[in-house]
Amino acid sequence: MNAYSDLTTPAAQHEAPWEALFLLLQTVALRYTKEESSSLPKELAEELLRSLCYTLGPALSALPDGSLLPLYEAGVARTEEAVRTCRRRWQIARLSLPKVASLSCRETLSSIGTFFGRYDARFFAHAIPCDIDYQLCQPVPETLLGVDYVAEYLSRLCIENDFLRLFAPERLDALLTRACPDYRFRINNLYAPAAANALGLALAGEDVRGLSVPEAIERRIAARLQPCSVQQCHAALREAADAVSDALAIKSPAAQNYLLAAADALVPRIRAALAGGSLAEVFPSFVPFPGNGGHVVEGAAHLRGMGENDAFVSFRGTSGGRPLHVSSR
Amino acid sequence: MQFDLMHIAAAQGLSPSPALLARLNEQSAPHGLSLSMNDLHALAESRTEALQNTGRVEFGEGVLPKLVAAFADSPYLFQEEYAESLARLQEMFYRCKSETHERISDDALLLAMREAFDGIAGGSLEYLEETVLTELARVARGCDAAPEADTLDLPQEDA
Repeated sequence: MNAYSDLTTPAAQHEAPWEALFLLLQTVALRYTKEESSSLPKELAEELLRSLCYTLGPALSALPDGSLLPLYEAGVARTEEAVRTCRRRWQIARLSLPKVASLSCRETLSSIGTFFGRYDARFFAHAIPCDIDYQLCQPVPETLLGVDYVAEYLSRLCIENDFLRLFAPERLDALLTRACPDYRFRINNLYAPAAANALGLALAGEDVRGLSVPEAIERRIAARLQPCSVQQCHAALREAADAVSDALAIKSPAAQNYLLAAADALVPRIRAALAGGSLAEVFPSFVPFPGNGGHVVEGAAHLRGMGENDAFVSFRGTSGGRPLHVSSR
Repeated sequence: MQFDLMHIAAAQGLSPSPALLARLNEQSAPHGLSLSMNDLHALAESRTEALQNTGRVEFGEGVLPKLVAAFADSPYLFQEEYAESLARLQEMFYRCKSETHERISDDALLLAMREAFDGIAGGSLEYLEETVLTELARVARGCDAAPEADTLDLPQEDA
């Protein structure tokens, strides 16, 4: 919703009920200044007007005769309710974080936590007073403002996180490391590489939970997609998205549609990669933790002492679920 | 074509009318001061100009009635330059509102202007603008006051 932009169109110049809107702006501005100032900087007045347009929302296109104040008050109440719903969604999003998550995603969630204390539904309802750095696979449209934007961002993030949690953390970590070695410290999206490889595996009729697309499978995918037109490519990937949803028991229509959108977004990359002769960068393969049989190692290293030229270290933990104890001496 | 809030505000703002003129003169007449309809038109124009110059939007009829009420009984205002003085005070008011970053209310600023005008400025609009209001803006912005500010006896804004 970007009602303020709509006001700037030439058609709106003639149709918008300026007088009623301006009187409402006057009332809101006086409330903002606590009636202590009859004037405001232009930029601030414009912000108040943007907020007002956001609050009136769709009603702006068909305003009733008379005072707009009741409509505005109802809009503020609606926005405040949306904030309460958004806060619940934020709590769900925090709980939905996969074991493999980036620092940027965590920081974005923390920053959204401050949104609820900073957001002002009465005067700056269109604003987004927090830092949202972590990139989604399907970005929230810029036309959404205020709490609508944050709520939509959180909905999409939950879909992505729910998807990522369907994979073994060590395989996911290996894939993401292959896609971007320091992914934990970047704002790069984590859903896209996982979705791409799952779709690739589904295209080849393989187990999507494996996540890795070895060279042989990648060649099979290329052979299948090479003769396809763009539309056929879209159809094949959409079919693969349905197969992924079935294989991973994704029941939510929103999550299924999100995966379909990710599949559609993959088509141009696939076509460009096919033209270049290889899909290896679209569907990367990986070997989880080479030399360790692919087992995830968890535990802690301890410094036991220092020699003249080296340190004596011991490690106690598990490898593939089995106890592991290694010492440098 | 851009949505011009300032243009709309100006169109909706101070409209010179006989009723407004009578109201303003009613306050100043006991002190030998009055405005003509031409003066009022000129003040409305200078208000629009001042608002544009300071990048401000005003709601309602503006600060002029408050300005007249605050300054009408000043011993330093004379009929010959009354309209011109009001125009300059009006311009100073908007400039000071912007320079204080909205940290001082209309009433507190008018009080400060009036006290300084009759007090340390001795009726000099130049001194009021260049010294007192500049210092007031510095203090309101949270900057350290210049050492000589103590002598200006600026009013304190309530927190």
